Amino acid sequence: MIKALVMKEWLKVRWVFIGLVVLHGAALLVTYYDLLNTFKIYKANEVIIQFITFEVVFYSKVKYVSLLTGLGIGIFQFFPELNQSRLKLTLHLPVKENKLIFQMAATGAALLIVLSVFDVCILSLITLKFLPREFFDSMVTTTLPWYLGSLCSYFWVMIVFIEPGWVKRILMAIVGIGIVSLFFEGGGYAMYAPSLLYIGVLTFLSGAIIFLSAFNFKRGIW
Amino acid sequence: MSNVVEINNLTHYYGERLIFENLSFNIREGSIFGLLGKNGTGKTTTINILNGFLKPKSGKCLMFGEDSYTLSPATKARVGFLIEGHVQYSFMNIKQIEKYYAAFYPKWKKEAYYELMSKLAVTEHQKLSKMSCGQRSQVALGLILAQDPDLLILDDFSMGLDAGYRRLFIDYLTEYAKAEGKTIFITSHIIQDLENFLDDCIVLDYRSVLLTMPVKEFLATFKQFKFDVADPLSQFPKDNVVKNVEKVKNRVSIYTFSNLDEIEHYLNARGITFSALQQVPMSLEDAFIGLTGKY
Amino acid sequence: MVRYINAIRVLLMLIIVLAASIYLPDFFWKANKHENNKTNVFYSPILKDFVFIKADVRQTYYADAKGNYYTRDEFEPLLPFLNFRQLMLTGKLPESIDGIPIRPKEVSLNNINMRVQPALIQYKPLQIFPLFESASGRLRLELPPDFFRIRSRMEFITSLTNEINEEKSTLFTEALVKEGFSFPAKAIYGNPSTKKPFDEGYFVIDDKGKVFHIKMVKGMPFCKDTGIPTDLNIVCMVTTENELRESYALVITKKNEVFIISYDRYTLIKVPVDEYDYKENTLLIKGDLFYRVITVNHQNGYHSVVTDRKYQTINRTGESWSGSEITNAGVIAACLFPFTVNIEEETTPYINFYVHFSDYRALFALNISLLFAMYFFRKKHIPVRKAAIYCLVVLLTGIYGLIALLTVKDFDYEKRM
Repeated sequence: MIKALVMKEWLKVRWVFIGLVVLHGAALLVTYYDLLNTFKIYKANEVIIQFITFEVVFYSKVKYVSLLTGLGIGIFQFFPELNQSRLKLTLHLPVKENKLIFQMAATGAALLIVLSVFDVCILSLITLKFLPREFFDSMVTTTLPWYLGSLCSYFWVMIVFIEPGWVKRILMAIVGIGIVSLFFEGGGYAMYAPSLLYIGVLTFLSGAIIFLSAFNFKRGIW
Repeated sequence: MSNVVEINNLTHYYGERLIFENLSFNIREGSIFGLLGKNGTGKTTTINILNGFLKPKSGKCLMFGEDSYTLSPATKARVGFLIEGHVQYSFMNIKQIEKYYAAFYPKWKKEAYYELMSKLAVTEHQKLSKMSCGQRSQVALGLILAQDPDLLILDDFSMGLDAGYRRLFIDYLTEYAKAEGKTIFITSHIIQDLENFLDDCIVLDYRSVLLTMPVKEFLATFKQFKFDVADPLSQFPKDNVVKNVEKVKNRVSIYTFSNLDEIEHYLNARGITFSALQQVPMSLEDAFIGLTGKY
Repeated sequence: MVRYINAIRVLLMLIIVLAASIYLPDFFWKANKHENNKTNVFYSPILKDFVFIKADVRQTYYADAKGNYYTRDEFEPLLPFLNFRQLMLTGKLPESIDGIPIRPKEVSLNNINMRVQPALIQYKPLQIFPLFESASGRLRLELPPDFFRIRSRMEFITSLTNEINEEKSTLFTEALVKEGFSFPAKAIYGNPSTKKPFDEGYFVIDDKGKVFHIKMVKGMPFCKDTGIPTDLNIVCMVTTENELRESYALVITKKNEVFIISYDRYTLIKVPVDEYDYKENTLLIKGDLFYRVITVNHQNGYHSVVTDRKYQTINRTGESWSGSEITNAGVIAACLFPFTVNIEEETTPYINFYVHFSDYRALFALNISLLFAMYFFRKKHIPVRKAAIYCLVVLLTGIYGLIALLTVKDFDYEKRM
C-alpha cells in the first residue's frame, strides 16, 4: 500500500526530480570548477585569507538551487492534485486520510532530503579537497538553513495547493513567502548558527499546517 | 430491505447562497438511484457531501450507517466513486494505474479491468493523458468495476461522452447491478440514457426537491396534456394540479399528476374555453423537462 | 482528521503572528524613516573642555560644552591634534601647547583610534589564522603559506597542499606546552591582515582561561603566558598594533569592564567607561598627545570620559536625546505593535529571532484587537467560550493575532462541535 502511494508520487515528480538532480549536479560542478580555477589563478594562501576575511560563500549556487528544489517538487507533486480536485481520488482510498496526507508529504520530503544529502556530500568533498576542515564545518552550518528552507518551501507549496479556496490560498501563499524568506537571509558563513534550532522547529511546524489545509479541502468551501 | 444511504434534513449554503434546504431521501440496497436536476441545483454538492468532501451546514448523511464525513476506511472500500469528468491520474498508464489501485482493495478484480481495456484500442503503456475522453471514461469505469464496490457513486458519467460510450457505460453498469446487493447512485444531465435503467429518482430544483419516487411511478402518474384555447391570454398559474405549463400562441401543454377527467374539470371550473384536449405520451426526458421547465 | 485540528489552527495563527511581527514593523518603519542624530565627542587641549561635532541629515554643527557654536574654520584650531595636517596647511598649528612643543611627527604617532562594536564582539570568525613573521626585516608584512588552528595541538595547514606541516606544528606545540598552555584554545584574537604596520601575533585563551601571547619571530615560536588573571571573564580582545606601541590589545570583560594590555609586561590598565554594555553599545577610544577620550555610544546618546594618557579620569560628559520613540510614528508603533521581531540587528552579525517588547501603550491595540476578534466570532454566531483560545492569541499578540484570525478565518466548524 505504501509502495503504491510512493509510486504514485514518484510518477508525478520523477522527471522534475531527474531534472533537479542534473541541476544540482551542474551547480556543484560549476562550484568545483570555479574553486579549482580560483586556486589555479591565485596563491592558495591568498585565496584562503580572502575567504576568511570576506566570508566568501563559494557554494552560494546551492542556496538558489535548494529553494528551486522545494518549490519544484512541491508544484509538480501537487499541481496534478489541485487540478480537477484529483486529491479526492487519494482521499477516497480506504486508508485514514491523515495517513495519506502524511505519506504524500513524507515522499516529497524524502526526495528533498536525498538531494540535500547529495549536496552536502559533494560539497564536503569539494571543500575538504581544497580547504582546511574549518571550512567544512562552516559550510554545513551555512547550508543547513537552505536545506531547511527547501523543505519549508515544499511544505508551503503543499499547504497552498491543497487549500481549497482561492482567497485563502493567496493569503497562505503570502504567509508562506514570508516564512520561507526567513531561511535565505544573510550572506556570510554560519549566520544562522544561533537560530538553527528555531528555524528547524519552524520547518517542522510548517509541516503540521498541511493537515489543516487537508482538513479544509475535505470540509469544502463554505 | 435496508437503506445504503440515508439523507436527513440536509441543508447547505455556499456563503450566503442557499443550495438546498432540508433535503431528505434514502437509497435502498440493490436499487439504482438517479439524482436528477438541471445545472446548478446541487447535484455535485450532494455527491460531495455523500463522499465526505464537503461538510453540510446541517443535517445528516449516513452511508452504510456511518456519517459520510467520517467514513471508516473499511466503508470507503465498499464505495466506488466516479468523479465528474472521469477524473483519474492522467500521468499514469493503463498498467500503472491498475497496479496502484490493486494495492488498496483486497477484493480487487484485475480481470474486470483488463476485460474492459481489451475492448479499447490502447496499449498497456499508454498514458491516460494521451487518451480520448471516451477511453478515459472506460479506464475510470474499469477501475471502479475491479474494485467491486457495494455502492457505486457516479457523478455525471455522461459528461463529454458520445452516444456509443454512454451506451457502453450503461450496459456495463446494468451488468454490474445484476449481482446481489449492488447499489448505484447516479447523476446525469442526459436523462434519456437513464430511462430503462433507474429504479428510483429524485428531482432537484433550485433550493428545493421537486419529486422523490420510483421512476416507473413517475412515468405512470406524471402526464402531459395538450389543448387549444380560445383566448391566447389565458393564465395557468402553478398549483396542485398544474405543475408546469408551456404555451405557444393558442396551443397549451400542461404537465400534471392529475388524470384527464380532473383536467377537464379544472379547466371548466376556471371558465377556460378549450378544444382538442389530449394526453401526450412522454419519455423520462420529456417528463423531466416537463417537471423542471426548460429554463 | 479532526482531533488536533484546533491545535493546528492555533499553530497556524502563531506562525502568521511571527511573520506579521517581523514584516509589519519593518514595512511601517520603511514608510516612516527616522534619522538618528550623530555626535562625535572630542576634548580640546585649547579650551580644556569637551567639544562636539554634531550632524543631522541637513547639516554639521560644531559646538563646545558651554553651548557656543563655531564655524568649521573656527572649530578646527580647537582640536590641533586631530586637525594638525589642515592647520599645518594654513599655518595655524601652534608651536606649543601648555609649554609642550608640537611636532607633527609626534602628533601623528599619538593619534590613535579604536572602535569596538557589539557585532564585532559577538562575531566568531573561522578558527584558522595566518601567523605572520613578525620580524622578517621587510617593509611590509607578508602572508604566510600556511594557517594555524589550536585544538588538541597547534597545527599549521599548508594552503597549497591542504596538508599539515608536521615539523612546524610540533615546533609550536612544544613551545606552547613548555609555557604551560592547556589545549584546546578557547578563543584566539588577532588581526589576520597584512595591512597593519607590524605584527604582534595573537592573544589566545587556553582551556584553563589563561591568556597567552603567541607570535612568530624569525621562524621560531614566541609564546608567553601574559599572567592576566583567569577570572577576568574575557568576552573579547581587540589587538591594537599601532606604531605608538602603548598597548597590545583592548580587553572587554563580561562585567562590561574595559582594559588595555600594556607593552609593559602585559600589565592591565583599567579604562574608565560610563554605562557601557558590550552587547548594545559601541565603544570608541580616541587618543592624542595629551588625552584619551573614551566614548560609549548608545542608540540615542553617549557617555564620554576624558582621561590623561595614563587613563586617569579628568572629566566626563554625556547626553541623551529622544529618538524615534517620541515621533508620531514612534508613538503609533508603540501602541500598535505589542512586540517586534527582527531577524537581523546592528548589534549582532548573526540571524536569530530578536524580540523587542513595547510598553503599556500596547495595551490599547491589544484590547481593541480583542474587541474586534470578539465581534468577529459574534458575527459568526460562535460563542466566545468556544473561541477562547483564539481570543487569547489575539489578546496576547494584538494586531498580529487579529491579522492571523482574519487569515485563518474558517472557524465555522466549531459552531457544530
